[in-house]
Amino acid sequence: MDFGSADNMLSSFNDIDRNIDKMIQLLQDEQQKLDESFVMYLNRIKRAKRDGNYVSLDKFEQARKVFEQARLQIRELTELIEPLQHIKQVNRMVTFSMKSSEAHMFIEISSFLDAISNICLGQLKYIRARYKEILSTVRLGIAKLWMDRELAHAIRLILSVNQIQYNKFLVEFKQTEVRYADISLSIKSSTPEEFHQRIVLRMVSNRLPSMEEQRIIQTLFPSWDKQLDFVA
Amino acid sequence: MVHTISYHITPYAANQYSSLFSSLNQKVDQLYDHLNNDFLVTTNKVKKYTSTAREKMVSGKTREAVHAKIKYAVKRFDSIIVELQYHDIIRQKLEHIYTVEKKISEEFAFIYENPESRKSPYFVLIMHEVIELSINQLKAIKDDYLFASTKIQQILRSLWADREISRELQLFLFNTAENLRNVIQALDVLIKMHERIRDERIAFEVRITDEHKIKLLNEIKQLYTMESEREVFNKTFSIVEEPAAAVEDDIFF
Repeated sequence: MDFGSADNMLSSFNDIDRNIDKMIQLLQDEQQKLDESFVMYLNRIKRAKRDGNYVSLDKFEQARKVFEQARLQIRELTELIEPLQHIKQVNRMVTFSMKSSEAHMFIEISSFLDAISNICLGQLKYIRARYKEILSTVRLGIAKLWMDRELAHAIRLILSVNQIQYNKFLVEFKQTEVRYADISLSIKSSTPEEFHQRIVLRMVSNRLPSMEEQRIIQTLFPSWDKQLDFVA
Repeated sequence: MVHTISYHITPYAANQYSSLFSSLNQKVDQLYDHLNNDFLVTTNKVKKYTSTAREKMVSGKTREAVHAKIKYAVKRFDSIIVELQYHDIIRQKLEHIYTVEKKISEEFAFIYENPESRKSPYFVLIMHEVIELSINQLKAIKDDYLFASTKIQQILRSLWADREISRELQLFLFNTAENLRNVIQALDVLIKMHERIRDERIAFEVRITDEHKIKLLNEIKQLYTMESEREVFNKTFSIVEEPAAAVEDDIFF
C-alpha cells in the first residue's frame, strides 16, 4: 500500500467499483435463483393438493403462504442494488475530482476522503446486514415447514436457502471494506474545515437520497446539515 | 473486583476503527501467504540438495576429499532446516497480534451496530496500548526475520562459493530476494498502518483505572508463548519483572 498516492487511490476506487458490480450480480442471482426455487415449491404444492395427499389442505395452504411471502421478501434483495449503485456514484464523484485538471478540486475532496469512506462503509455495512436479515427471515419460515416431516416429504422440501451466494457476497464486502479503510488511512487525518466539510457532505448526501441512506449519514455526522439549512 | 469504566465512542469512530482493524487483519493474512511462499521455496530447494548429497554419499563414487565436503554440506543443510523454524515462531507471534486486533474490530463493529447497548467493550478500552504493543512486536518480528533469513542466505552462499560442492550437488544459488522483499514490505505496511492509527486517527474518550488497564494488558500477555514476546511487552510498558521467587531450599540452605 502506497500511502497517499493519487494513482494508487484511483486504482483502489476502480477495484471497489468492481467489487460492487460483483455484489450487484450476486444479489440479482440470489433473488433469481431463490425465486425459481420458491415457484417450484408453489407448483409442487399445487400438484400435491390436486393429487390428494395424506397431508391436510390447511398445511398446504400454510406452506403456500410461506413461499408467497418469501417471494415478496426476496424482492427486497434487488432493492439493495440501488444503494450499491449510489455508492458507485459517490466513488465517481471522488475519482472525477481526483482526475480533474483543476488541482484545487482534488485537494478539497481528498481532504475529506476520511469522511466519505466512513459514509460508504456505513452504507455497505447496512446493505450486508439487510441481506443477512432477509435470508434469515426467509430461512426461518421455511425451516418451520421443514420441521413438519409429512409436509416436507409431500413437497420434497429441502432447506433451499443456503449461504453460498451470501458467503460470496461477504468476500466482496470484506475486500471493499478493507479498501475503504486503506483509503481513509492513506490520507493524513486532520480536523476538517467545517464549511467545506458541509459542502462535501451535501455532495455525498445528494447521491444517497433514500431515507435509510440519509439516516446513516446522520448517525455518522449528527445534525451535519442543520446549521446549513439555518443559514440558507 | 468492580472496575469503574466510562467511555464515549462516536458511531463515526466505531465504524472507522472496526474496518481499520479488519484491514490490519487482512494484511496479516497476506503476510502469512508471503511467509508460506518463502518457507516452501527454501524447504523445497534444500530438500532437493540434501537428497542429491545423500545419494552421492552412498554411491561411493566420490573422492574422499569431496565426500567430506558433501558430508559437511549435509550438516549445513540440516542447520538451514533448523533455522527455518523461525517461520513458525513468526507465525505464532503474528497470530497473537491478529487475535487481539480481531477482537477489537468485532467490539467496534458491535458498538457501531448496537449504539444503545450497555455492554462494555473490552480490549477497545486499551486500544492505544494495543497499537503501541503491536508496533513493537512487529518491529521485533521484522528483526527476527531479517536475522534468520540473512543467516540462511549466508549458509547457502558459503556452500555455493565452494565450486566442488556446487558442481557435485548441482547447487544453484537460488534467489530468496523476492520472498524477502515481499515479507519485509508486508511487515512495513503493517507497521506503518499501526503508526498512522496511533498518530492520526480520530480520538475517543475512555476512562478506566490503572488497575483495570493492567488487568486487560496482562490478559494479552497471557496469550504469549515466547519469552521474546514478553520482553517486548515489558519494554513497551516499562515493566521490570521481579526475578522468580526463591524456593525454600535456597533460603534455608
